[in-house]
Amino acid sequence: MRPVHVAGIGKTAFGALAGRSLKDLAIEAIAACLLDAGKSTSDVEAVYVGNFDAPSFTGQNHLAPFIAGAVGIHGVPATRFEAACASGGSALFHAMQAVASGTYENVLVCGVEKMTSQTTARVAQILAGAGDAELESSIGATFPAIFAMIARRHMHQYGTTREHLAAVAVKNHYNASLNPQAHLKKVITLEQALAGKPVAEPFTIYDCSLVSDGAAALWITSEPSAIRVAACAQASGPVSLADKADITTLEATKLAAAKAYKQAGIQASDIDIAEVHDCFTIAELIAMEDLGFIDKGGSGPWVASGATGINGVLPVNTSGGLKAKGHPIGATGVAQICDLILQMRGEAGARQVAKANTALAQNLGGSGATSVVTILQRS
Amino acid sequence: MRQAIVYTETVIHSAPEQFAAEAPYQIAVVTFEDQTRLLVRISGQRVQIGDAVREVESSLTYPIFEVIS
Repeated sequence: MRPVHVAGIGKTAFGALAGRSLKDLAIEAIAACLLDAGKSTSDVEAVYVGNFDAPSFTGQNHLAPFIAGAVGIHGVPATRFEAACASGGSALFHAMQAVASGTYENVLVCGVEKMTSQTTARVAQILAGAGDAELESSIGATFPAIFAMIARRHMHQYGTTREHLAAVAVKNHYNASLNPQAHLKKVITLEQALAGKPVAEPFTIYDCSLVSDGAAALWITSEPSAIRVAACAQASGPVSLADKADITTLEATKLAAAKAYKQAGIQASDIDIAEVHDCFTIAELIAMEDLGFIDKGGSGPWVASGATGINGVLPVNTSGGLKAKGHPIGATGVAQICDLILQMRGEAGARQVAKANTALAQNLGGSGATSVVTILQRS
Repeated sequence: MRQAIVYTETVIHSAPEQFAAEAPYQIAVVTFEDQTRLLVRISGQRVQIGDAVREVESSLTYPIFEVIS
């Protein structure tokens, strides 16, 4: 397998973007990506689109050729990848494989989701489709509820507290306040996070990521450039929560991380900065453990101590994360890479970290049914 | 009827549209004696991790359990 690089990034602002269509958002992200890479539509050899459920959210299916055609890319293969909230990461993983294997020189990856034209109850219903339809959504389980049950168990086994969970939300809201493209740029206090409207106990609204619109794009290429994809690994786990031996760990993340560290020839302690999948506050805590940044059960006190703040030992979700930057599902795994590359280029503005030579992204689907771990290094 | 121990639980306040009229309601993952697990609806009194529960008869398509007091 040959080296693969990311030579261009493009991203829309995330938010409740009334009047902006799915197509419109994808076009903006792709145009920005092509401009950044210095390429044109005729250089694209394949289009990989990450998207969770445009058919349910917007009525649009057959998305990849729809988007390719909209930006003026014709004739080349265009394919949609669906892996729930890891749809973007999965599109990236497959693009990386295609370029590494020599199938293509240049692949355009686009992640996109348009969610805010639906009601909250309808969004909950659509998202529940990423779980086990027969055993979970049929009894009224929602995704917040699935992760709330993971949180309850983590609290029970390791003494993790509501304050530890809230610390994730406070940090990510602060980071997003420094990100001009974030969905919510509102700083919150620990007290506010704890007193939010209940969603699924022990979660309040501040433990949950946002319902957002947005798109992001990447230029994946064999041509040498400043940022190399040192590793990209995808792994699977049980879709149903009841089928996991221990719900306080997400096996797919551990598997993908082990593979990615091996591929890159590095260890967790070599990572300078990370964007992880904080769909719920507990997910960021568990990711710290599953990615090997802190011992099992120790994530709550560690994150609450400020270790993962912008000036901490390991800055995590400096973009604001899914919690406050926003979570347009299919775009998330692609946007994580864009945000890390801004940091690696020293273009992250007010949220710029001191050192970003080796960066890690973790993108999760469902309650751990898919996990994609990507490691980027400066060439 | 089957008996089990509560492995984890949550009370759902924000429900999907199909169940919105029932909120708030409690669901739990329960562990049976053979160590298999199942996601169930809890009826009646709220339960916590470690509570013993038993299945109740129901005409609904999903399993419903209640605390053994």
